[in-house]
Amino acid sequence: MNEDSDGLLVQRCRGGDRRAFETLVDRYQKPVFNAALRMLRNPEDARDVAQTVFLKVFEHLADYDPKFRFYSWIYRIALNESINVLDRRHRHEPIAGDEVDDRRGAEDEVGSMQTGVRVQRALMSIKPEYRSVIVLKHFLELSYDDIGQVLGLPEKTVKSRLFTARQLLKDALQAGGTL
Amino acid sequence: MIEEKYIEFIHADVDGELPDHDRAELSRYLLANPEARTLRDELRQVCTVLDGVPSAEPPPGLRASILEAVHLPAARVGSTPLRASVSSPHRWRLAAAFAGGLLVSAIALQLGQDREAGLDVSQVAGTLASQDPVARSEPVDTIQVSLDQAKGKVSLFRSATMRVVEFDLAVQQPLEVVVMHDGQEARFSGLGPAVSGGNQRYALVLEGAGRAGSAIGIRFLAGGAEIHRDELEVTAPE
Repeated sequence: MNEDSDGLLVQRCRGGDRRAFETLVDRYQKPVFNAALRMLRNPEDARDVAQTVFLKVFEHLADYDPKFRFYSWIYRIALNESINVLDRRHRHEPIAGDEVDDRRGAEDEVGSMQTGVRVQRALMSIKPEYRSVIVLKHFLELSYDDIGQVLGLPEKTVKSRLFTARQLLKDALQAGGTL
Repeated sequence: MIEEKYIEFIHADVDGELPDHDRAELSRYLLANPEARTLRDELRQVCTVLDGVPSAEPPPGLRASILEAVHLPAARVGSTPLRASVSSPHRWRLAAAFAGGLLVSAIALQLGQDREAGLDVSQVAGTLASQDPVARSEPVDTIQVSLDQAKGKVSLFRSATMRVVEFDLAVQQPLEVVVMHDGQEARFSGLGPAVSGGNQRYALVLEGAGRAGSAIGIRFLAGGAEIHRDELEVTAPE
């Protein structure tokens, strides 16, 4: 992460520099989209979330507090938006064996690798609060400290939640024959 | 039984966040505790599987759609943030940017092409100000647009707290629209030909009811040159 550059880009955005905003989009569209995709599985929802995230970033640039890392801020928005989508679905998360959704989502967009499909299925079987820490740690490669800042949690809680999430994921992967 | 402390050490070690002096202690513990070694091995397996999943590439059009939805003004982005709630990018897209230096008191929304399936202005206004929705009323004024570049109508709806200017136009070439209200100008350049033909609908939401008898000026520009000018009169709803 290039924190200084992010801060500078935000400053330039505030000054009306279109290219600075484009650079932020170029820099973060992939991790934001991936975070949403891992949280939601459905690539269309992930795309919508990614777009909403950048619109919110744009709208609230004036509110951004530079004492926080920009990526922590944008990832927090991405996770919150993803959880909002999950809430709006008004149904339980798909469980293992939801082949229809797998075909539409994971295989088409994440890739045809079976491991990817199984991992996504296992991810969807755990609660969003646990999925979030897995996504931040393993797909966005954040440190405990960074995860704490994104989720607004103390590092100790982050660790505890991550340990539990991995245990649950291990069980799900074993149940699915991946481990 | 694995002590809690060493469970934490094992996770931190796998994550590369274990200090060297703790790693040495963990190594000694692992040598003496097969259960801990099993936990470490299983954890490594999980992490290997997770880390082996490739990143997905964003959809090809994502960047363009973001930048299309967020038209940056020439200056002062973010210092006067728009107040829209973009809850459903399927239909609602911020479609406007406003000239720098002005008090931003308006937002523009793309309503979609299909009047039946899309939003109507009452939904827009109702969402923005749920306590004071613009009723599903008739417009207080409408102007017809019949130009080579665009045909259709522009309507003004008014409530106690806001005015909504609705553009319902079939546009032949990209247009810029300037809306003059309360001594301010709001510009947006999102009007263009619809991909599948037909009309495009936008709503520009202006803060405040406006003074009765005042006018909202509408200017259409093509290639930077004015091609049409008209006014909507702010009258009280029937």
